[in-house]
Amino acid sequence: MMSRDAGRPLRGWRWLALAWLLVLAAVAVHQWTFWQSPPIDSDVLALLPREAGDPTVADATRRIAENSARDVVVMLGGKDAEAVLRARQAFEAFVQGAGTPAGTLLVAQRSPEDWFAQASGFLAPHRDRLLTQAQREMLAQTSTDALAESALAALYGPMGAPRLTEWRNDPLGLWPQWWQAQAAAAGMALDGDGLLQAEDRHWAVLQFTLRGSAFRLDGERHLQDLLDGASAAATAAAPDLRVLKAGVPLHAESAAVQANREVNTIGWGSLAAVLLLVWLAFRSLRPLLLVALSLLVGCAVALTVTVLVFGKVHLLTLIFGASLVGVAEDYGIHWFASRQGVAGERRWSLLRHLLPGLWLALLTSATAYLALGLAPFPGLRQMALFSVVGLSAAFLTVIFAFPWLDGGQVRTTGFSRWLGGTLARWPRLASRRGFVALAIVVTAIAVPGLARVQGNDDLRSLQSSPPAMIAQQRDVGRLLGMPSPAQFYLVQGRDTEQVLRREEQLVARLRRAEAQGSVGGHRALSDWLPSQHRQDEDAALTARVERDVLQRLSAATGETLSRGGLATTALDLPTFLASPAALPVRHLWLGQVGQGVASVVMVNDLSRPDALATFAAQAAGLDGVRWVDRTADISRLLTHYRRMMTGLLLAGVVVVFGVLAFRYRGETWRVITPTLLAGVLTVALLGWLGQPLQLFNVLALMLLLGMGIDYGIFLLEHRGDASAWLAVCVGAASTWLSFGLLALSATPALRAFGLTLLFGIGLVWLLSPLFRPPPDGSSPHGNTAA
Amino acid sequence: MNTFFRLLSAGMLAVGTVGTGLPAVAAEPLAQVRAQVAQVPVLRGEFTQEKNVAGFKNPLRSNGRFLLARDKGVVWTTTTPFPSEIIITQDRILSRQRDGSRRVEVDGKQQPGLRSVNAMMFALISGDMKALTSSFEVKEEQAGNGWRMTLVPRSRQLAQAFTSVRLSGDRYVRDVELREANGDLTHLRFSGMSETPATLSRDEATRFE
Repeated sequence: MMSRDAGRPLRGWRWLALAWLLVLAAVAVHQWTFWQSPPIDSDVLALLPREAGDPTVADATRRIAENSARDVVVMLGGKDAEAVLRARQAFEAFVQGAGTPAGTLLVAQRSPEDWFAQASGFLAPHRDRLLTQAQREMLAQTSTDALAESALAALYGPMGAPRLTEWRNDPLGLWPQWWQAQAAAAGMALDGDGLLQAEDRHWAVLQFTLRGSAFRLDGERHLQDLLDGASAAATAAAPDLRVLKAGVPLHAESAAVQANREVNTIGWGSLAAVLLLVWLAFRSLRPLLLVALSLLVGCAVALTVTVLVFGKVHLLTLIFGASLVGVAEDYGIHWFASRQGVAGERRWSLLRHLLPGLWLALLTSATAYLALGLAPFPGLRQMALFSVVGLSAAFLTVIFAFPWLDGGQVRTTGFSRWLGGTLARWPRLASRRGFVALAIVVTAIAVPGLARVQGNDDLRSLQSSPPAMIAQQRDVGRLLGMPSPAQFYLVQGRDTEQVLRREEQLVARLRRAEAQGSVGGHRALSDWLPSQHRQDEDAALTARVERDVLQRLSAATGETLSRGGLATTALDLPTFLASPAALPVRHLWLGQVGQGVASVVMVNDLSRPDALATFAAQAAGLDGVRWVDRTADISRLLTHYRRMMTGLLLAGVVVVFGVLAFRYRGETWRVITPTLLAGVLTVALLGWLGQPLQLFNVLALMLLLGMGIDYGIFLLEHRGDASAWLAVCVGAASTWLSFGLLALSATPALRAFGLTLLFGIGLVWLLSPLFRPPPDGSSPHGNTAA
Repeated sequence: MNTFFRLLSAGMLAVGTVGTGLPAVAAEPLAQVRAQVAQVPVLRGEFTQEKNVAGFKNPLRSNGRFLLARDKGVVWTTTTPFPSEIIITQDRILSRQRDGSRRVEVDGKQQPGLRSVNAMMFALISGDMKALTSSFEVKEEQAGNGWRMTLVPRSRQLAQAFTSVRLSGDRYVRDVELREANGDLTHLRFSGMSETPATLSRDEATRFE
């Protein structure tokens, strides 16, 4: 029976292989179009879970992020204002000059020069309804005589009291003061040259918008190079210049450049390592090419499926995916390790023989990777999908393609004989003394190490930007008073009026805290567009006071003075939003949300001590006002899932033990102990190194459980079998190398992942043979007793 | 986004400059004029002012005294028709009410732009034309024994506040005419200038505090 089928493919195999080939052709086509303009995502926020159950917060966060997604801000600071102006000119000239015929990468962002004229012109008819809190109090409390007197003094004085309208339209000069308050609230105070004076320097502030069509996240430093060149030109024009750069595109490009480098290091490094091992083990070109083919197919299919499912692929997925090379090679190596010394005609029967084991290996690894996707982090789900698809595709390629393509002999080489033979020389724990010694060593490392382990769920573990860039971003934010995109107030109400009135209550509290110096400034729609209620109150107040003042001034000057024309109705939201005046606050209005409407009040300068607590406290007791701290929310979520995953990991150990006990009974401990010890020691080593324990370490331990057990199974299943040990060694070595390279990543989360598996896989590899059962003399290879 | 605030505060500043720039002009104006104009630590004098303001049928006339101290600022004392006083220092602009109380009109801490307004003012006094020429197009001419010049704002923001400043004088600035963008016209004449005593009296010094 066996001999008759041995030379023939499995039933239907031809059709399945053909179908797989068609799938691959489709993938190839997709890959070709994909690389024309890869939809690669580098936004850290894209990795984070959407706010569970609260679309408003998610929506608000998204809008805030989109609002600045294309902005690049450059600040040039120097002691000498003249030099800074020269530097500004040099910088702008460089950016302009660096443009290609298609246009420049960065477009200098200037509001229309006459924005101020447009905005103040639009709002002027409503100026009697727009008062600052200080003006409101002043008008209500100061006597008409005093007001008339200072109006008169201003009229006759040399100050030419700053005026934006005809005198009679604003006799008390309230309107320019209102604008001044808006400018001050923005934290911007510029001198006549447009320079900002802060921290003992003059700063030129240059704003650019990235031209999307000219910008590609292809791993090259387009933007950085441009800005570096411009900075050099500026510094040449003004030595001792401090250049600060900030903006989402900078971080995105930096992430892309870094990812490109890491994908190359990890991907090519792992591939080179795997191919070297394959070459050493088999000394022939066919295994080399076929293993490389299975890996290439694995990665390509994984990428295609990920893009089809998620719409785009995240950079961190690509980096993580590159380490897959070191795992997906297992199936190909297995095939060739087993083919050694097996005649080409018998390869179909060999496949029949290998299939159950290969399926099982795929299933356990895939399950471990799928566990990554349990946490509701889109990023982790993407990585899980990428890995599972990649493994499956490599696996399918091995079972469908290899038997057709690998018809010749596979030699047994000296290296593979030597490596297989090392198993026999590996120490084995057989005596009580050995166990005691191991127990002492493990305890000595584990106990102090575990005592040092500390949890850390800081969101920054996902951030990979260089510290210098983050520091510059922070400096620019502080100098310009830019609001934080991750912390804000969400104000909700049944209609616009209610939202604005609630905002006003909140803003009043914020003003008090600002006056005490306990928090920085804020940005609110109601500062520009007060509620109808407040507008009407203020209009009545100014009308009464100004009429009285004009009456007194008329008497004093002998003129007949009358108040200028003003709008008779309140300014409403749609009119305001459609006007140029809304430019600075338009994005704060969220519009329809759920049953009502909502807006956002943004705050800046979170660096002060207790600022977060102070801000949070301001929302207390205000209906419809909520303080949102995305950073804290996500850290909380990371903590939650770290704990949950730790629980699942422990449960997983119990389940795996139960399943294994079915088959191995009294020997089960031999399979599972190496992995458990490796896990414990890995965590201890992380403690020794001062590495915090994060969700990502726990997830890596899950993978370790899925992969590490395999080594134990192999050594128990194939007692003393040199070819099984060869496969374990080659597989473990390449996995180990891949994750070792991942440990070099600049992204803390990936580094945690890589480091954990670097330790874990290495330890399982070393520990597994210690727990192998005594060789039973019946081994067919007979090379176990040395 | 912030460009807009830059524009906004520049616009505000331009409006502020109109006023605070004025007394400064009473000191030394332009490079060519430098040789002619007195470079003094303290200058006292009298002024008459005539303002044409939209909505008023007649010009608003006033007169009074001024005191300019190079390292302190300017005290502008109107005597008729209504007594009032405005004190411009490095950090703030104060007004003295009829009852003697003082009110801060502009605080430099709240509006740091004021510092550069003052820097410009003192640049004018010390004859540093760099700051001035970067904001204004300056035309100067010889006029008899004295000089005459016209300052036109370079930037659009400044131009939104006023259209031109004309100055004329000899050893001192004698005449200033300021045309605001909204059509208001201010005409100042200085007289009775005196450089001595070259130090402030105690009474004068306390006014700046």
